[in-house]
Amino acid sequence: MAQGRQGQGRGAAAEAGGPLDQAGVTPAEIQRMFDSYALMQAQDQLKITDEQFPQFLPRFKTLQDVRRKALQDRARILNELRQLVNAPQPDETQMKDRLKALADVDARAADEARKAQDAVDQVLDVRQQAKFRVFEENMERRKLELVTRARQANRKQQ
Amino acid sequence: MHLTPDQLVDIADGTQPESSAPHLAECAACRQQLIDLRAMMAAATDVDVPEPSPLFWAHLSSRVAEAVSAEPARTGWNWWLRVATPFALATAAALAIAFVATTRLIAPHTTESPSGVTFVAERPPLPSETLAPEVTDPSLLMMADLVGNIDFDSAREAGLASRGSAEHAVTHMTEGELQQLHDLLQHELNKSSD
Repeated sequence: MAQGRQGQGRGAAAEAGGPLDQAGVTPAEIQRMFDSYALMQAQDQLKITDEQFPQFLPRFKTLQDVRRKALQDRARILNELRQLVNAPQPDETQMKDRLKALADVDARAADEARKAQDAVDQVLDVRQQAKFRVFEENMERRKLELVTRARQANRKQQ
Repeated sequence: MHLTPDQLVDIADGTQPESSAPHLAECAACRQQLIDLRAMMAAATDVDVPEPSPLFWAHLSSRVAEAVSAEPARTGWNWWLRVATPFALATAAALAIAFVATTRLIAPHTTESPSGVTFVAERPPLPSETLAPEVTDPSLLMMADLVGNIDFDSAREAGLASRGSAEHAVTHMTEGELQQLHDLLQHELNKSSD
């Protein structure tokens, strides 16, 4: 792997973890570190070449951002629906509006995620595309393992 | 303080009104848990429950069998496992509901004997009760109760660990846990850079 790309990875690691030592750790910082970790693991496991990397990096990040934003948008509208449902006098007009918004978000999210996935696939060969699907499953598992280990380590410290 | 699994179940099944838990109004996570729980309960009562993959049943049935054979001392509860197993094999959702409902119904019952001696039947601890006391996140406690010792693969097969669940868990971690996770991730990132 090229030194420049590795250097970029180290830069991402330092950027993701650097300021936290002084200011405490927030969930947002952890999510940035998760993204950096996923990127570095993807480079390694998919054997991304130096030619692929400049195109793979922004497309992979877009895919992550699209998924995360879809989850956030969905949660926001569900929260609005919850408030409408729990209101003393539910406003059905607003409910219809929010239901439509939810359907729109779902449809848009699916479309954007598919496009983002297609964009990633365009950079990868068929084997890498297959590995990428497996990689994403394994990465979710790995993240959960790290969360569990962090909880256990914190428990032992107390 | 987040709502406990018992409180969430009480509200979801209508035993308690939502107004009994003012915390719901200010906690999006607990509200989401309630919505998820209601959806799960509704799904469990649906006749046409889709059949999960054979891999899930293989995992689950072998684990139930192992648990029964590994704990002969709990003979008083073998009947419960025998009752629970068919439910588990029927549907994952039904298993979750049966587990919560059964443990709520059977524990603890007190019976007065003719001689005046009181017998108290104690239920086995819920998985969530075996967690460290500082683990208060209701989503984690409920997940622990629902899946017990089911591993990640089985949980994923049953649709209980969706994409983004790790990041959701992060939003409920304590400062100490976040610091530990940060250190672990930093170590992993450094390792990957080498």
